[in-house]
Amino acid sequence: MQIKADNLTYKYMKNTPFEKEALKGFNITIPEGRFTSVIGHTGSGKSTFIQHLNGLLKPSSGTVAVGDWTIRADTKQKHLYELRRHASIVFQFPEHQLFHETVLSDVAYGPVNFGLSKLEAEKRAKEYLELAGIHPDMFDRSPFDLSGGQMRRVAIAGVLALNPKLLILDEPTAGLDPEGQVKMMELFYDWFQEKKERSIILVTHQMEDAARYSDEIVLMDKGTVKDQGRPHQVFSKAGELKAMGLSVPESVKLLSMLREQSGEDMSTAAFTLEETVDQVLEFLRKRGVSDRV
Amino acid sequence: MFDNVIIGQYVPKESVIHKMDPRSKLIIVLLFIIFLFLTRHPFILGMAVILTFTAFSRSKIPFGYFIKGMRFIAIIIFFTFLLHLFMTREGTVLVEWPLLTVYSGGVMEGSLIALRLFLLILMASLLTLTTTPIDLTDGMERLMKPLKKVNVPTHELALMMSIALRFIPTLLGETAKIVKAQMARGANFSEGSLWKRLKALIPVLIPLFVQSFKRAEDLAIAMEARGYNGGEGRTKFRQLKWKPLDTGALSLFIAFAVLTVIFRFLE
Amino acid sequence: MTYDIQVKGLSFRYHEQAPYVLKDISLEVKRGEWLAVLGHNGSGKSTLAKFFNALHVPEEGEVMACGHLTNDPSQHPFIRRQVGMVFQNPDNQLVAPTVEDDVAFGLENAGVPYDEMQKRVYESISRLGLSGLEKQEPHRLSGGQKQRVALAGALALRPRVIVLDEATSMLDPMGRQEVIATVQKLREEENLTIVTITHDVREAVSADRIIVLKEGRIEQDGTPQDILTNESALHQAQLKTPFAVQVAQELRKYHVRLPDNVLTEEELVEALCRLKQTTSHINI
Repeated sequence: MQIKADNLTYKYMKNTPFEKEALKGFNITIPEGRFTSVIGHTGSGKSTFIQHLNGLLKPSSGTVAVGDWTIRADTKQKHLYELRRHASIVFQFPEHQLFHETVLSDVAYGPVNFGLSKLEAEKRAKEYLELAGIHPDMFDRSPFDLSGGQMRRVAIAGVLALNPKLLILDEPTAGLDPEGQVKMMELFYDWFQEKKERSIILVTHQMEDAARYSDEIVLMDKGTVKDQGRPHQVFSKAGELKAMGLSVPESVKLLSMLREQSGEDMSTAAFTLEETVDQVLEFLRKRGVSDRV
Repeated sequence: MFDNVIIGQYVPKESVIHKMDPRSKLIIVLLFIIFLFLTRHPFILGMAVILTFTAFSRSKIPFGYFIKGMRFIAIIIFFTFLLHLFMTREGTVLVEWPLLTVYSGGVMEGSLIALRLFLLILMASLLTLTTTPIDLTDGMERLMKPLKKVNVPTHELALMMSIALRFIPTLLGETAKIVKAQMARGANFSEGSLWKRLKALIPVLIPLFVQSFKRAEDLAIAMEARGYNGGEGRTKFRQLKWKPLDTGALSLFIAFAVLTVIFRFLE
Repeated sequence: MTYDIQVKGLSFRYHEQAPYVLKDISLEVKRGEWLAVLGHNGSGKSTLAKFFNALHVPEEGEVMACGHLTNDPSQHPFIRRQVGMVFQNPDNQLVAPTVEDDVAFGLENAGVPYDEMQKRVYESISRLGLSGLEKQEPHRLSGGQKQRVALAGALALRPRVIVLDEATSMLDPMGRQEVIATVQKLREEENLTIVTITHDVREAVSADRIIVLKEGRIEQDGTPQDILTNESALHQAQLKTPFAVQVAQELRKYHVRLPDNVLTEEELVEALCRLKQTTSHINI
């Protein structure tokens, strides 16, 4: 589903002494079928923005259009309910939303809500649980008996089982150990690639993930969109990002430091280990370093 | 979704009311409420209105903010008014319909109750709007201190209250988050029968309880790690200071109380 | 040599039927040393940390904290004053409704007199760069700020040891940086013993010593250079090799001569820039 925000504004605690403008009227278009990462400092408005994409928040003014839905300040909840069939969100620490007696029924909760029969819902739940790497032995256990990492995967299966077209992820790897993080991102990426019309919006502080998986990156700062472009474009401005309190991927950081310290004119566009090594070798070649045996 | 709840909210401002000792504020509110409900005399009621509004204006809290938070309470006040309006059968008949009759006494009684409730809420809100939760619990702990002699665990009560207050915003935030997460999974809280809506809350309440227990456990460990061992031998970081301002304000309300009693005997 | 923490033959399980979470752990932490305990989630590292200030007491093996056996409950108040802890979840360890009250909490428990307490609270707050936030409510703080408040509360008791039990794992990169920088600064300024429990190798880079925990056992024990350059051992423990180390190792495959002690991006860049100076005159 295509996303189009038009002068999108949102205020928290409107008309109280604590009123805060979280989104300050920006425009943005994100085409269908893309993997887009939204990056920004805590408090930049990125979490507020993504909650508009499945109608959990409504704009204070302006509009946001997702697929065929247009959301305004006065849009009815009923209209948004339909949207949530197609645009799903995985919140930070999604394991906190588990509640059912068994793993299987928890995953089936969403599909049942959206009108599937219990049988169909459980069939789908099984499918996505397995996709998420949960062994069938665990299906009838209480979700609260699982390890933290397993609980997270069950919760994510519960969202994937809704079979959305647009999947919104809010820091899905937070708190996981390195191996868990990689596995989690692979799960999402495989899901994304399976069908052409699937889109992902990923909110993350993990710049390496943003760089590696995204078609495009949206940079938010102080409630507005500061930049939008391909990863190498956005991350080429390491200085600007730093000024906003953001980091760049490790590879970009390393190459920028090398460029700065050596004064050599070189590209910093590398997001994988191989690309980084290639850039460094290129750098050494340029400098005529033949310090090799 | 909890944007308009002002109960228990503290609004930081530099005002005389904010500077007062929580003990004097607590005593004043208590005194005021008791005597407000003892009186029917228009002079005393008028004085109560003036006292309340003066206090409120000195607090520098925007009145609109209070009114906004009053919406729910206004409904309660209104129903209480109606109840008294229709139930009282004194005075002259003002309106006579087939099923109900309104007496002048009903109007009087209804207005009186509504006014009392309104002033009560206003004063009580003023207390919480101008006093930090910790000062409030501190004040209560000090005022309840004599009860310690009869084995009331005043320290524990105060600590529990203070921790509860500390966690209210955290739990509200958490509730909002879980509600949204379940809405994203197709939960519907605003449609269907009452039973259906109540049932829809289960997916919110269970995770909330589970999380709260986890928090309680973590918190207990953290408190233990920081050497908490009950109230015995504990010193206090906060010392309450009774200022001339407090004596002055309290005197004013004692005068009000005395006047109330005098007028009651005069009636 | 003075040891602040001594663990001998410690094994632990939560109840009798449960599998062992810690298996025959022995380790010492020297006065003033910075020890990083690395391990993936579920490796037992957090459980181990709770033995350091008597939140858990051993049934098999023994633990000494600042010279006292943790089995003796009468020593617990002393041990807990000496060994300060910062936990994982920033929301679940602040007790009081304001920053200053929270920093004071441990001092109140320890019965520190009023005047001394006032002094120490504000001193601790300013040392951690929290000045101006004294009256702030915890829920209005960022994750990094909350963790610094917790750290301030621990420091106000003037402990010998600070244990950071996954204190950065729930923070964003800024918050993590904030906490790590604070710990590094504290370490430079005073002779604190520091134990950081983490799965993030970047936090272990500036430690004096690293212990790698896997399935409740100590798998590795050595300097950051020994451990962080040992890719296969890290991989086995489900940890990630620091990026700079990975790049350096790849470059060595292309016969780029780099020193062995490259652990951080800074060190790698430094080494790469130096290559020219040593070689250019040979090439000419």
